[in-house]
Amino acid sequence: MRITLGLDSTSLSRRYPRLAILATLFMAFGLPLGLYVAALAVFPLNTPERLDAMAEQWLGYDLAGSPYRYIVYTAFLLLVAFIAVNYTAVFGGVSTWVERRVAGRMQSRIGPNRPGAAGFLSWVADAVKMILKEDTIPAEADHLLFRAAPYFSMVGLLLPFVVLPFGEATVVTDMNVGVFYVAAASAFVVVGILVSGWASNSKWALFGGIRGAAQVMSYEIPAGIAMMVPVLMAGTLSMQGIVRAQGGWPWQWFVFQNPAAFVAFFIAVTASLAEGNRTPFDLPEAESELVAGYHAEYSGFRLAIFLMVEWANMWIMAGLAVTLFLGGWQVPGYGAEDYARLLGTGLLPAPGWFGLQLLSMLMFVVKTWALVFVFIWLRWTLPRVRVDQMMSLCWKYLVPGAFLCFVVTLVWQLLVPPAGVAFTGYALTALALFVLAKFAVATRRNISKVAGHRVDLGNW
Amino acid sequence: MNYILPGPSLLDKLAFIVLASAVLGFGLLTVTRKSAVTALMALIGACCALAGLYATLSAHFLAVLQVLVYAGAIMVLFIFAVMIVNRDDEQPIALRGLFLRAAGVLGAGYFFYRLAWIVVRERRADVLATSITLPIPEYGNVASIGRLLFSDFLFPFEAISLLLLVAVVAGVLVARPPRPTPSGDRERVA
Repeated sequence: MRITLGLDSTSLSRRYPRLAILATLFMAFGLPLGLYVAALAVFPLNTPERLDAMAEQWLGYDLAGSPYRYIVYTAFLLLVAFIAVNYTAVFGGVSTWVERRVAGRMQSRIGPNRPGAAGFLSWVADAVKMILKEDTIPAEADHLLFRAAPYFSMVGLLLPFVVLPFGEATVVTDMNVGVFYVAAASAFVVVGILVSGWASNSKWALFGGIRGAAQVMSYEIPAGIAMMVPVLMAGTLSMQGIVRAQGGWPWQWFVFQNPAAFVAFFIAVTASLAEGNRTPFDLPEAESELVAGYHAEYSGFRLAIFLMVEWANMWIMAGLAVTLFLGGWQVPGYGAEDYARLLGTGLLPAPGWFGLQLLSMLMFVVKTWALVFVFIWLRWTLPRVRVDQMMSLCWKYLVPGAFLCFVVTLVWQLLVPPAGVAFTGYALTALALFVLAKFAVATRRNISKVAGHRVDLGNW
Repeated sequence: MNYILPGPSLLDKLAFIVLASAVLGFGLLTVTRKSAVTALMALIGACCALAGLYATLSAHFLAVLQVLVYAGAIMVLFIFAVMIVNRDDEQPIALRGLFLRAAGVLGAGYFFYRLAWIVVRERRADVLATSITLPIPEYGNVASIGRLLFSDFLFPFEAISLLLLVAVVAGVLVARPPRPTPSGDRERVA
């Protein structure tokens, strides 16, 4: 039987072509934008003191002395969580579409192009399909743990959103142990992988689970040490503090401020790719060896949760790298005093403040998407590494490398004067731009060598 | 930021009740489940609930460490070992023979007697009704813990790192593949 969603090219959208375009535009821009605006409106309010002041001023209600204060506050926290969960779901969905389109382009094929304009709504169709499917549990499985496993992964995905700063004011809370907290929260994903592998009572799943645990446990170490490099440079573990210690221009980013941080950035990104089970480190779910690895026995909505976690994890990985190394939400040309000036002292800030906040969120989102794009390239360019290569890369190269970066950063912080740091910033930025230009030229030359290659928009 | 925390609010009490019963419940599951993996999952739950208790005591750093080290790393290693060894039929040591059982009962009885004694004493002091004064303003945050670790507690801190180094070396020694014998082939350890 064929289920059409009304957006399929055979039905509604053929009769009303504009409907498909409108629906696509809504899903592609309206939905994320709405979530960003909702986050900007709700996240900064999320302290009991500010809620007290607002209730006092607008409703004339003394919330601070009320026994219902914490119920109101908890309701606000639930709203925040609702926005964050929806954001992960939308990002997870959209990134699958982006990934499949980019993969199609890289392999000279079309990719999904049916539901909605340019096939954009295929992620919605996938999600609906997964929800409608039967949720099967193998008879010999450990039923309780089998059911619980996806939620461990889900919790591990969602917890980092508490401290991930989307903008100057758009962060749920700014913990003084932020970076540490993210490292701790991502440990839950491993538990989910291990438990799903064990509870499935299947050889493929068990091997996938064991591989996943070994891989993630190993790569947590270089990732953790590399993440300490920006912590050393900023002198704080708080995510917002680390972003505030950087600037808007590329030469003020931590990645270019010292050579050890430049290396640590690549170590951190490689390790987080491995922690997120992305190709070339997708050993826990290697299709050619383990069917689908730890989630081989899952179907329906539980499988959808695993897949969503896997794709939405890219946002955490990329967002963390952007926050720690690439300047986070910092807008070039605007400093802390501009935010303070526009915020003012009133209960509601000036409209310009909201504009600046949206701009800072835009900076973060664009940088993070750029990094996600690179992750997608890597997946469709590199072959999967072997288990022994994965282990030796981690323990023989990344761990000592990360330690070296750590020590060099300590010495650098002690010995190099600010002028030297500024010079390094310019020099490393120039070097990175040069390498990027060389890469672009080489790519262009390689593409033009392929006979008959051209961008064909006919099938979009 | 005031340094004197107010007495426990309704929410604090609620959080304590929920988290403490989670610790106890998961702890009970840990010692009563037959399947080792289920018991370990309950232990992870107990660790997380304990981290929640730390967080309500404004020891955020300790709470995060509890999750990172225990619920994350060590528990995953435990599960790993249990999954690979996978010997569910092994009887726990406390259930072997009359003497060990009696010793277990006596030990547990003494432990609960001490616990009950502490509870009775603290009830008389009624700590929960008074407000709590933090010893220093930035109590429990990373900077103050770091300062303490590298000043007053430097020796225990360094001694622990030495101990861990010994443990790592011992682990390598145990896990190292056997050396090739003079005849060329490797000794196999069954």
